[in-house]
Amino acid sequence: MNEFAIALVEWLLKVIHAYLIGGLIFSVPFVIFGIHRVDPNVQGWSILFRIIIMPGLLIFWPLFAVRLVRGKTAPTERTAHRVAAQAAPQPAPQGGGS
Amino acid sequence: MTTNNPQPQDEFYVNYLPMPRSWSAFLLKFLPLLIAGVLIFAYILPTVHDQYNKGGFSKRTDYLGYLVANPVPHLIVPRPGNTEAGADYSYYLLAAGNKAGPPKKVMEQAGNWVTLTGLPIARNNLTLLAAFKAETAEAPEGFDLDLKGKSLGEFTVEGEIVDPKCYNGVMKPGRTKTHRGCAIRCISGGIPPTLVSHNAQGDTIYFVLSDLEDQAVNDRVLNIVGDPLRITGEVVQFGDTFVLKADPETYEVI
Amino acid sequence: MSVSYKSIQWNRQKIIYDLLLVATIALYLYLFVWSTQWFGGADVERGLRAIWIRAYGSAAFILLHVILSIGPLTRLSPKFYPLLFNRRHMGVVMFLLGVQHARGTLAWYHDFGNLDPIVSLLTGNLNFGFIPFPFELLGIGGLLILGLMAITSHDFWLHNLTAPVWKALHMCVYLAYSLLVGHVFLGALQTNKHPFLTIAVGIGLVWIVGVHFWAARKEAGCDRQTFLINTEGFADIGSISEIPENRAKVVTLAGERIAVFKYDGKISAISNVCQHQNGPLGEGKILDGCITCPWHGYQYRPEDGASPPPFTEKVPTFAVRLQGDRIFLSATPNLPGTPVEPAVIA
Ligand code: HEM
Ligand code: HEM
Ligand code: FES
Repeated sequence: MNEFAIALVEWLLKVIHAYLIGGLIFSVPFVIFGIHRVDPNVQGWSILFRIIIMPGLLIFWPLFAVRLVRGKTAPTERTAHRVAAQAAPQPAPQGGGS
Repeated sequence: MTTNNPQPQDEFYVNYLPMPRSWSAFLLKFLPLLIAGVLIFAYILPTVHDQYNKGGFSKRTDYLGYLVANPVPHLIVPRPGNTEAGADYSYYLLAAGNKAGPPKKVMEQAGNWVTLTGLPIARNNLTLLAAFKAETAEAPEGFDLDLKGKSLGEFTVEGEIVDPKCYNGVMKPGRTKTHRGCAIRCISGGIPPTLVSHNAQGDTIYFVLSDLEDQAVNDRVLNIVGDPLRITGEVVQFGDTFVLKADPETYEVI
Repeated sequence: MSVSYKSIQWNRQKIIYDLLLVATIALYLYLFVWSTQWFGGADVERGLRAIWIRAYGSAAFILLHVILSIGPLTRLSPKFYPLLFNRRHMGVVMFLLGVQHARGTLAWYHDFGNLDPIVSLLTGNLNFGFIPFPFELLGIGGLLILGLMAITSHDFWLHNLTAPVWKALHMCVYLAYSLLVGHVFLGALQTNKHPFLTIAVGIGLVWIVGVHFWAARKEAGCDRQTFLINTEGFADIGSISEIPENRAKVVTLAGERIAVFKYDGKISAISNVCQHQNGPLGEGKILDGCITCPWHGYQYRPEDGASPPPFTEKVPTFAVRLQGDRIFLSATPNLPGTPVEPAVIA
């Protein structure tokens, strides 16, 4: 048995474990109190919805932690047309921006 | 604003609307074909897998035998009245109930006659006992204990290292690539590594592996478990079991 | 995004879809085990632990082929669209089959030993030669990618990660597929030498690559067209008569596809990329006055590229002019949701 590989893998598993625990500590209060601020589309208190997004939060929680701190919501996607439209002079001033 | 669609044949579907006739007609033909196609695999795949053999285990039994620790843990069990077959004893490899060599409590009695309680796991003429406990016992009368074996000279054999517990029938096929991870676990835990070889007639011959100092090679073969190997060394016969003595450094992967 | 998230938006067709999916898989697993016992009799491993590993693994692998085929098949014929809208449930089910397969492996091949099973799985075989390669690592790689897709499969994630990030993540399904082909080639095919298995995996690979090339070739025509842009910044993209009523012609301008719709004697143009999952709006149709995406039915008004309230999606719009039968399209997109006067057909 390769002792070095075993030690390395055991250490890595601990790191992953710690990350996921961190995610859990962040996510439980987040889905209850913070999620409305980061995503205004979240309305109501559906528990099943919160459970369904929980596994993803355990992975992506730093993204939401940053958005929560900066007071931001999700960015709008960038496609070639959207980028070009930003740069172009706009004909209709009453048009809704993004 | 409602559209009065001038092209009723212009079919379009989103999942909250009814499906156009011709589409559902198509799906009614396509889906059964797809599902049948998938299910055919469930029927055929098991038949083309290497997962059937006669190996297996039977019931827990008590064995009177002489317990030996080297090169691998084994039990010499006299077989009175069976002298015509050539050997008057069996050479049973030993392991524990899990992926490990026999329990310490058992092996502390190496060098003694014992009554060993074990689960026999056998395939062809290779038997391994999953040993649970052993108690010191009286030596049987009229049995001539032979710990030297009979040297048959030097041979070159080709084959694959397996852990004889899984290979013998706990797992099927219990050998080759898919089983490699498990075999590595078993052999690192102390289950006697054994070479499975086939002669020109297609008979299967087993060789228990030993180094030149009569020690187990377990920790030195982990990287080549399940690989095709060529080993040259002295073959020593114990009863109807062969032990192949060679320096694991000289095992060749082919 | 839609007004508010639901855990799952059920409708009749989704329920039929899921029932068919689950029933087929249950039948597959049952048949696999039954066939093993029927064929092997007493020579089968007791307890059948490894048989279940194989049943789950092969079910997941076959389902992956089905999932990967749906996208290109819809490009070849729209009749396959009803299989696409709920593909994510298929994906999640496949991931769960993969999990069962991996759990079986961990418990049967790596537990009861002298190491923690996960550590054993990751460090047992460290021979990285070609044939001895630890094929389990390839399976883990595939499973992790599928896992990322599955745990982010709710629309909440689509919105918060944005569709392009999504798309990138979903393109990784092809990486997962290659890893898993490697997993099967270096694992099961090394043990089970029956030619049927090798040929079946080979045909699967050729089919997946082939159907993608076939669909790509059909689409490539559209992207290769180039248009001359006149001094006013408009390009002649074709004639009115090319476009069926309530349908679109798709052209590529300004680095992305544009859907040019004809309806009620008018022409309007919006960006082809649906804000939901980047579905192809140009393959959609005008229903109740709205451009309706063929993937999941999100709707946009042709006049301003915005979803009718209470929805909030918006896509960029394009100015259109007509000269006789010819359609001239602005090469400069307007900001998403900008109203544009539709060109009226004389
Ligand atoms: C685990 C579940 C899923 C699986 C296995 C899966 C599978 C796939 C596959 C095979 C593609 C390849 C492209 C194609 O065939 O057209 C794809 C593309 C895509 N998927 Fe998924 N999908 C899943 C769930 C989702 C979900 C939940 C979303 C959105 C919420 C999504 C959004 C997309 C997008 C935007 C593309 C790009 C499409 C394109 O440009 O052609 N997928 N997905
Ligand atoms: C942690 C991840 C995984 C591990 C550790 C793993 C491990 C294994 C092992 C040990 C085998 C050999 C089983 C045997 O024949 O006794 C196997 C076979 C297989 N695996 Fe995986 N696997 C993983 C993920 C996957 C995934 C995600 C898929 C497919 C989506 C997959 C598909 C297969 C297939 C098709 C086989 C061949 C089954 C057969 O013999 O019919 N594996 N895997
Ligand atoms: S991509 Fe889902 S509706 Fe357009």
